[in-house]
Amino acid sequence: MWHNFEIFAIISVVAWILAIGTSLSDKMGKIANLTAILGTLSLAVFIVLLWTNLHRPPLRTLGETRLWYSFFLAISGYVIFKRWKIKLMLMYSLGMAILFLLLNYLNPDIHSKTLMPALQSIWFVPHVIVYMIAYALLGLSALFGLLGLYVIRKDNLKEDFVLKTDNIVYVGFGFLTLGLIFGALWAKEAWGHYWTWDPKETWAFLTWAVYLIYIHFRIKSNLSHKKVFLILLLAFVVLLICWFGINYLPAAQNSVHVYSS
Amino acid sequence: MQNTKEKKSLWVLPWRYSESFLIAFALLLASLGLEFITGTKAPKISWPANVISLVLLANISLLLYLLSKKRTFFKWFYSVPASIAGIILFVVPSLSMALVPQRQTDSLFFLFDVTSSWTYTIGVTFFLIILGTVTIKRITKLSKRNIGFFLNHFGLWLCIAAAHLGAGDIQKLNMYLEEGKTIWYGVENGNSTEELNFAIKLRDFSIEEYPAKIAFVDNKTGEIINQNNKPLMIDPNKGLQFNYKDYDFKIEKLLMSSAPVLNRFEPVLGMGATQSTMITKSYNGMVDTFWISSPSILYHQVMYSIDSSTIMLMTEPEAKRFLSEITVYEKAGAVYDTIIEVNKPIKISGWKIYQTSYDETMGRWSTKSILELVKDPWLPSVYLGFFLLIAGTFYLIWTGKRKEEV
Repeated sequence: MWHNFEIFAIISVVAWILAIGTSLSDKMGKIANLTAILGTLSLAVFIVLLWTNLHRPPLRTLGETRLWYSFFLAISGYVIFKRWKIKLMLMYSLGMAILFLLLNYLNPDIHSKTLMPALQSIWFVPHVIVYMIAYALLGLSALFGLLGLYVIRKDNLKEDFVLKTDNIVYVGFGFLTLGLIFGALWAKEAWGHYWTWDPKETWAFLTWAVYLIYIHFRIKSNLSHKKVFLILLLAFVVLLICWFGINYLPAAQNSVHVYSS
Repeated sequence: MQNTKEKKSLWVLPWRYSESFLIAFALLLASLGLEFITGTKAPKISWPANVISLVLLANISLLLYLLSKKRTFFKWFYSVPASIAGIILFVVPSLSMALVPQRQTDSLFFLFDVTSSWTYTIGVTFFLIILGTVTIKRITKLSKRNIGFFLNHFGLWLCIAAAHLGAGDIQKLNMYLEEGKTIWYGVENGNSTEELNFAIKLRDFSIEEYPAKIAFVDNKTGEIINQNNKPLMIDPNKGLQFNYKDYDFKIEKLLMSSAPVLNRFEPVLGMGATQSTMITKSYNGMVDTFWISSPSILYHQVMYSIDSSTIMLMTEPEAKRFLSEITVYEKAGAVYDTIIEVNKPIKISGWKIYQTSYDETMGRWSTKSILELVKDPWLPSVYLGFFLLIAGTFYLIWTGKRKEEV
């Protein structure tokens, strides 16, 4: 199935580039909507085909998780675009989605490897999908952080903007919490205990805790916005370590989450 | 939001971030000091000390809340800065775990055996006291908008408290089964045995495998050849045609369980049977028919040299299911047959039973199966915490942040 990847990826990438380009113009809003949806649909079709072809959810290798990441980035970016009319968010999320497809194309971590028994669980799809949504939203919040730092320099930061950022963090953090708990429930069924401080679990906990700190710092806080955004960016760095930096850490060598053998 | 508050001196009430972080730092130093002075791990508690500790923890929080009505000082315990200090004290030891590979050790527990260290124990305890006080403070003003707050905070308190205090009551045993034998005891930590109130007879242990793949391997490096950045592997199907360089191949036969007979394979079911494929190769009108097979504990892997640089072979099949078919005899008299497999544990009289291992040297022909038995009496409390937290999380996702909280 992966040999058809290029076709679907090209449709997605071209459509998304069109969406990014046309979203800049108010007159071409319809085209932006259509192409954003078309690109996402193309990827969705590829995921469905891959899923049927592999006889298992395509959620095990880094290459496969990148597909979902692109997919949910595109969706959440589009939804936020529709709700808050922030063009930059559509551009950012579609841009990131394109980047992940390109990564898959240039450096294919593509095994048609089959699922080991410990991964065959009803918790698999919900666990990974809520994480993909959480990561997508928190990725977006990191961009809000960067944007916020930029706007502060221009000295026209609006309180509404910070509230929007907080809301994205809240929703992303919610999904992150679900991901942790689903993972724990799954671990109990597969390994006999819900929490073993496996390196991936440890980093997932750290990520969760840093966002928790962010959320609490933002309550009735008089912390400067600059510091707030910096914490948000730090949180995203921890998230990135948890997501793929962990494969290179000495503490992670025995992690049950290191899939490649 | 403008900061109109004047700068106040340190340690003047109400305490804010500076004081909170200093307190967290002092506690961290104290816990490290405790480790260096005593040279021991933090004590592991079990029934009934853990229940007493749970009651104590809850009462400390309650007391702090009640005192806060009398004295301003105690308001600090449910303040946001104290909450952040609490999270940080929990995070710092976790960071050690995240960076340093954990192992059994006689010293430097705060680095190598974090969950046994004073740093971790004191961090979690402080975190729970703050979280408990915050929860009690809000629960006294129970309103609709506090429901989400309560679900999240109490849910978290319950699962963290129950998981840590309950850890000492978890019992783990291994059961080493052999086909045809009835075993009525479990082994703890590899030596002491414990008699169970049920017995298990292993009727059959088996591994179901995925079909092996056909791979093209470089003769010199032994690595699977990459084509267009992808490893050149094929899922075999009967009748499937494919090509490589100028050669055309067709799969003529596919046997999931077979053994070599002279220069071909025949279907057999016995021990050591392996997967094999009969393939024809056509090149410039010349046709060659050959067999290749997966490695097996009994037979050599049969490969085929396509040309001087390339070999075609079948990979080692990957496991799809590990399962033990067993008969259970309960002391109360019940006798029944059931199956245990990975990710599908079963429950027998309070024990949760997992398929964990088998005789790996024999692979799918193993006649031994190793089960793990786990008893965790605090699990329902932890799960209740999880479900409260899940409910609270949906609330959080739904409402987002309210404007007045900014």
